Amino acid sequence: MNSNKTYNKILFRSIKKNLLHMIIIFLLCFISIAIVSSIGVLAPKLWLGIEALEANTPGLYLAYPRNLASGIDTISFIFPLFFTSVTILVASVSLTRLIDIERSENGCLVSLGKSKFSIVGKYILIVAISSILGVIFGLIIGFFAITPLLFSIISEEFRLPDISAPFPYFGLIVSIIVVVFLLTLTVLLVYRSLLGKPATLLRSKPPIKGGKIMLENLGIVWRILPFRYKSTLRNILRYRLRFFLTVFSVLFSSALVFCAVALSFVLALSNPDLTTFIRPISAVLAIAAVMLNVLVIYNLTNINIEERSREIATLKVLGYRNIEVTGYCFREIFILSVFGILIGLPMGYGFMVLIFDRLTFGGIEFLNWYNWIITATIALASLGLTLALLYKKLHKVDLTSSLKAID
Amino acid sequence: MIKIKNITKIYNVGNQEISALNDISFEANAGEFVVVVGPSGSGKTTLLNLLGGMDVPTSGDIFVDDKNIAKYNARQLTEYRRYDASFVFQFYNLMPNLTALENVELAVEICKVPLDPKEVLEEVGLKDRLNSFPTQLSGGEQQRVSIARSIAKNSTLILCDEPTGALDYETGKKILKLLYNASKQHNKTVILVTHNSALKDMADKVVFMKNGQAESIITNKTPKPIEKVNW
Repeated sequence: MNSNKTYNKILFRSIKKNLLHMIIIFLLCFISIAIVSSIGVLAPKLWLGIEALEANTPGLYLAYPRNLASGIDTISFIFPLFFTSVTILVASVSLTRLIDIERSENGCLVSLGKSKFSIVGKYILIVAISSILGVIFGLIIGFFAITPLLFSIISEEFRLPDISAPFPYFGLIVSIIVVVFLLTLTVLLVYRSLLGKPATLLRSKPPIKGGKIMLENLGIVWRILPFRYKSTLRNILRYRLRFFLTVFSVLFSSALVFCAVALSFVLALSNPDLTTFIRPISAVLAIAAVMLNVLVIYNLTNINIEERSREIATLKVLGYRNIEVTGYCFREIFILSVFGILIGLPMGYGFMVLIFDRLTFGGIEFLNWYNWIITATIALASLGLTLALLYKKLHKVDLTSSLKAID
Repeated sequence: MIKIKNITKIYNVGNQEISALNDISFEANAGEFVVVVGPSGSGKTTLLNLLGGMDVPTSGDIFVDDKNIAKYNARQLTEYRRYDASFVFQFYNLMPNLTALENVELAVEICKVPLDPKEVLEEVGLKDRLNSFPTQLSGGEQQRVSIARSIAKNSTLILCDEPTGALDYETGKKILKLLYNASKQHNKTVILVTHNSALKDMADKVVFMKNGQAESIITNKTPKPIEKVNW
């Protein structure tokens, strides 16, 4: 009985420590499932209304609504796919960080005789709470708030009857896939982290073997680079998995923003009549894409800072000023984000070409430079917002405790 | 010239007040090698943190070359750490993705009148290890990089927190010799904190700490060379 009480205390404190990461996983799941379930149900609901109205009114052919519905059909696969991919990518990074935070405590528990299974149980509980709550809220908001809202705006003009939408099977399936994926990854990561003797866990993770990176062979260039850049570039190229995850996350979420913005502008320009109907949909998509973008960049930067707290404290002790330390932390994410944006924007363009090909209205020729500028601005604003939110945390680092013991 | 006057440090942890330092005072001159000895919990590390500008005392004054750092704000403390103080930690705290040379260069880049990183690294015996990364260096070598970093900064004060704590006996002795030479050759005040009381024999001045106070302060007219100190 007593051991359960202590273990519950450990569990509770664990949740408190990991709260920020749990909230982020929750928000990631929430945003993407809200989009998946709302957009996924919108077209079927429209079709039902269209068919019902046409059936009741002989000779009526609702051209516009049909166009609209098939247009939504087209995007209702790609957008949810993007949202879900970004969610899974970024949530995976969060999971690796989550499991790393209490590495030494876990090693301690294992050495005290706690089974590995019970530690896995702790993380499954944490991840399950965040992700399941996230998808449930997403399904509810998507199905009960977003879809009715969008439907009412669209159907008003055509007076489509409001036939209750079919159950969001698509949203539910995607939710299950996301949750199962995250829980499986959790189990794998925990077991991998507990591999080997408890003694190794109690020590801090050994840093990746130092070594030169390819870039250093460019003698002249390398010599001129200030250390801050040398350090940043080595960091970026050494932790390859993190590099790819970061770039891909930023890539996809910027492509998403590009597409959502393109949808609003192009359709508004090409078909002013349809603006009333397209606007709300693309607004929802754009808002969700921007929220996701901010979340992605915030999360990746936050994790970066948490993992580097010792280096940050060292820089401060050496007398580096706040702005110099800030630069050290943000340089990496900035370079990776710019890289991701540079690839993501053209990719978004590519997707819009495909989408507009299949839509019966709008056309890629209406896409102008506004789009690129706006998307780039949004992406950079996300970086700026992240900086503002994390600045305080960065400079609240307690010097004395960060440098004391080995983790 | 370092003057610590009536320093008290009280930590407020939740509802409790923990008194880490209780009205402690002493002085140290340039070129002096000072050893602060005391058991765990005696306040030695707190004292070092205050001297290093990583924290401020609850009351009292700390004069470093006539500047009272006890009254400094965060920005001023950063400048103090930048130019006037340097630290040698028990666990080295090197940047893992910079070489030995780059680690010293990183620290020196922001200083006003630093020493040459390569020369200082040679001085500590790492001439052949300039381009090695911390993971490729032994504990003793890493600590030597850390010491080189502190010496190269050319600061008034070099503060050492159990610098030999993670090293074996022989290596530890070599490290202590390096630190002693640094104080003499470069005329720096070195303040070394340890729980190993045998080290008192090598110091110019010894501060015995207990329960946040200086129990006694002894000046050693004839310090023993570290080779002759055994424990």
